[in-house]
Amino acid sequence: MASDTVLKIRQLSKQYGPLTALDQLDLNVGRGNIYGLLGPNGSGKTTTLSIVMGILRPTGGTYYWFDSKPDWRSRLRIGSLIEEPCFYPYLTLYDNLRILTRIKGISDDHINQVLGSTNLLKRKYSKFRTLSSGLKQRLAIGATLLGDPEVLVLDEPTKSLDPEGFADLRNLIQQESARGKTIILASHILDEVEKVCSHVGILKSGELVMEGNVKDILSGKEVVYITADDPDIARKVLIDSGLVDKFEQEKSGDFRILLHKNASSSQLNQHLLAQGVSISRLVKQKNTLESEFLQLMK
Amino acid sequence: MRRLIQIENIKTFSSNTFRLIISLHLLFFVLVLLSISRIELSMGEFSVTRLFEFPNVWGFFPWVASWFNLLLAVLIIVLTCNEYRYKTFRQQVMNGMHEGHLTLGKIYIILVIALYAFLLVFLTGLVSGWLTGVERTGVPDLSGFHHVGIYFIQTVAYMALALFFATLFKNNGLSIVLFVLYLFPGEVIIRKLIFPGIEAYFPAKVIGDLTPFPSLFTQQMTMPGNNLQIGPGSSEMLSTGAASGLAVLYVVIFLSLTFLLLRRRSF
Repeated sequence: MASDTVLKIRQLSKQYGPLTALDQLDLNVGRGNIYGLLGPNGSGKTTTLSIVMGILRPTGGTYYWFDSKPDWRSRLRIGSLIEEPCFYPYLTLYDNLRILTRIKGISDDHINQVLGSTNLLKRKYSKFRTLSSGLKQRLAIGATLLGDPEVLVLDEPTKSLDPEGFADLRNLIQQESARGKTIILASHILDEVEKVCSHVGILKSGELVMEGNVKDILSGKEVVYITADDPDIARKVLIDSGLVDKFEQEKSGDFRILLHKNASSSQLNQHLLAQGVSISRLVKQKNTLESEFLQLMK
Repeated sequence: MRRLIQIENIKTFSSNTFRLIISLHLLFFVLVLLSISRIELSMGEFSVTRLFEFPNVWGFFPWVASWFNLLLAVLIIVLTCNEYRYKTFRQQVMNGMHEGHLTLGKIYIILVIALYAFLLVFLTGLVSGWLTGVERTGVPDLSGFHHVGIYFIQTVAYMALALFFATLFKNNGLSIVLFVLYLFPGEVIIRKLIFPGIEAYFPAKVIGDLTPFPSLFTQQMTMPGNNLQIGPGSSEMLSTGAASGLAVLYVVIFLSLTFLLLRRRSF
């Protein structure tokens, strides 16, 4: 029986001299998930994906694809695009994809399908080097689908794409996910990740600082901004309120408060008034992945 | 293996670098042979024309062809370093190839190029022997033909060494410069200064000595009254059999090191 976990990462580390790119990373990607790997530049997203795709040697730790030790056979079941499209510039699109069909052991008939789905059928016999960077990216994304892999690993796939390409990519991810594929997506574009991903892992300086279901992370939680007349008293009351998940005081002196799942802004307002905290402003906001992310990065 | 061969065929035979270097190799070899054939030189029983006759042609043509092995080695360096430049090795690993497949693919290309060089020497030798032979019986004299077979080993060995350099340095310019520096002053300095007792066993020496100066020359040049000393007599040399065996061993070592480099390093 197939396991529910497609990728397990255990204690994965990568050192570049004195620099720690990954620090004992543990991560699980479940079958059928759209897993968004988030983090600022240099947080270790590409390093993680490069290691699990076999092109970067880790300093320590291990990982398992499909519950097996990593080897080339498991990579045959994965379509991947990491960093940039890598094809022979002097070969036509058709010949470049023929190389891929040989590696995957599939018929050349799939090539037209991929070129069609990426609107590149007319450029079938164009040399790869003659494509614009956006079209190269489209080809690379299409190429990941050759051989109908069980998993797609996409590192910054929206790079160089125009708005149409962006929308096409979102549709493609949702279609492939609906077909049961697992998708691992590293991206900076949090809004997109929030729209398409079912799960996220947030990396900071090579460490996983948050992992979970996007709905769980965001559902029911409200973010409230308040301006209190006496911030010191307000801080004490917030700590003891039992309604707050976490809060912080911004430079302006205002408080940014993440409420507990079952708490509401009106409950907080009543509590503050009951405790004698006078507030001049209360703004309610839906929690977004972006706000969670930005908080974690502070 | 069939798929691996198809992959290498697609990416190599469409490469302009491949076409250009093979064309240059063919052109230079034929032009040099034609130029030599026009030299009118006779010393006693020796004449340039005799080098183009059976069976001398089988020693002479591989020796001339060996001057152009550097071009074939450069071709392997460019083809391999371009895989790093275009990041296609890393993409192929991501797509499901093993480092062993990458090595096998390049071994196949080395064998194809060596086969081309072997056939070039064989066919031009055959044509030359027939055209210049005094007695045209129609049956080629194949005595000494083993030199052409040894030339095949030599081309494979040079290209295997070039593959190792390309995998080690990953950069076209750097690999070519260091390869040439190693072959010419580098190994000679190491041999002469550090290991003078075992200099005959060093890779570039062993591989280079596989196609010695043609015996027709050396016999003439070492005759009494002729003080010129060229060829095998001028430095320590292994027997042909021992040198061939050692060259094959070096090929295995270079290819194994290439595989280990690919296996251990990141792409």
